[in-house]
Amino acid sequence: MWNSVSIRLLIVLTLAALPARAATLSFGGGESVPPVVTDTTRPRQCTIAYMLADVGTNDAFAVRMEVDASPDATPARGRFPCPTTIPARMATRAMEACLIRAGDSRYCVFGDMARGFENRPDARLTAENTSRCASDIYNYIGIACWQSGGRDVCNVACGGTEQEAKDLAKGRCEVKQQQRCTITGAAEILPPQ
Amino acid sequence: MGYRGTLPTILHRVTALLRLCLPFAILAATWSPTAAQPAPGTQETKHILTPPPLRWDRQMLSGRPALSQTITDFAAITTGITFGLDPSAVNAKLPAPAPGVAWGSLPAAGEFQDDIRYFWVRLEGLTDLHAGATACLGVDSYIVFLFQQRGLFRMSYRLAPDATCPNVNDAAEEIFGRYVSIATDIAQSVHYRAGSLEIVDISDPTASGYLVATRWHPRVE
Repeated sequence: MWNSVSIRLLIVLTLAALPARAATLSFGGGESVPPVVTDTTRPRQCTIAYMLADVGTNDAFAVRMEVDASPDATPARGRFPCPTTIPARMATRAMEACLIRAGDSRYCVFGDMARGFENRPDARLTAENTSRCASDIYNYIGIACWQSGGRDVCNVACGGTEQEAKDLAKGRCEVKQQQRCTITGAAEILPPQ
Repeated sequence: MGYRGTLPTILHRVTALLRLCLPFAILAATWSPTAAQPAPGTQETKHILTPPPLRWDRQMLSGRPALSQTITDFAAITTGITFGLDPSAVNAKLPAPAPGVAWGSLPAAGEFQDDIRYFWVRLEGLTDLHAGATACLGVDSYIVFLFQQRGLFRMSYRLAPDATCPNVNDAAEEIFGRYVSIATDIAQSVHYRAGSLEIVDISDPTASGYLVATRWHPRVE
C-alpha cells in the first residue's frame, strides 16, 4: 500500500515540520525569553584596572577603565593593545570611585603602599602606577596585605591567573613590607561581557 | 644472660637518644622551602569590590559609564523598594508589614537638620533584603528606612556584632559589594564604621548633597 514515493514524501514533510514547530515553542508562548547572544569572538577593548583601598573599612576596589581602540590597532590573543602612556586623569577618576563610596574621603588611597604606611596612612605613601594592570598583558589584578592594628597594609601585582596575581602580590608585599602578607585577593581585569 | 642484663640499659639509652633527637626530628619534618609560608588555615581572603566600569575615548580625555543600568537593576537587590516611595508603600513591600506606618506617625531622625523621618526593621527576618549576603549579620542588626517628605531617600544597614557573630565586616562587605555594582547615578552606596557597628548607607543620588553626605553615628550615653 505504501510505496517508496509516499514514504519519502512523509519523511520530507515530517522533517520540514520540525523546525517550524520548535520555533513556535521557543518564541510563540511569550513566557520564555530568547537567550542573549554575545559575540565572544570579537576582540576585547583594552581595560586598565586600578586597585584602590579604603583604609577606614579595609575595602578594596578594582576600578576598571575600558579604552576605545584606535582604528589601526591590531588585536592580539583576542584583545586590543593598551596605550603605553596612561594620563593621570584616569587615575583621578579611579580614585573618585573610592572617594564617593568612603565614609571619610581621607581614607581612600591607591592599593600599592610604601613601607611605613601603617604609621602614616596617607595617599602620598601609595603609588598609582604600581596599582594598575592592563588587560593586553595580564588577566588579573591581585592584592596582598598584612594587618597593622586592624588596618590592612597592602601591595598590588598583575598576573596571568588569579593565583599568580595573588602570589606575586604576596611576594611583593612581603619583600616591601618585611611582614607576612596573609590577606590576599584578586579580580579579573576585564569586566564580564 | 649478659645480653638480658644489658637490655634495660640499651633501651634507656635509646629512649634518651630519641628524647634528644625529638626536637630536631620535628624541626626536620616541618622544615621545607614553604615552611616560611603560613599554614593554609591562616590565609584570609580579601574581597574585591567592583564598581561599574567606565569607557574612555581613544585620546583618554573623558570616561563615561560603560554599562547601561536602570532602576530595575537596583530594585532587583531591594525586592522592589525604590527611592521616592512613601513610608506606607515601603512598609507594604516588607514580608511582615507593621500596622500604622505613615509619614505622620514616624519619629524624626536626629542626625538631620531637615524634617527627616524613619522606621527600622531587624534584618534577621528579612532575608530578601540581605542583598545576597551569606556571612552572619548579628541578631541585633537592622535596616533603617529614611524619608523626606517626598519619599524614601536612604536605606541604612546597621550591622552589630554579638557573641554568635563577632565579625559583621564580612556581611557588610557583601552587602556593600552588591550595591557598589550599581552606578552612582542610580544609588550611592557608602560603607563606614560607627563604634562597633558596620554601616552601609544606600542613598538616592538625586536627594540634596547635604542629605547624601550626612553620616549616622550612635549617640554616646
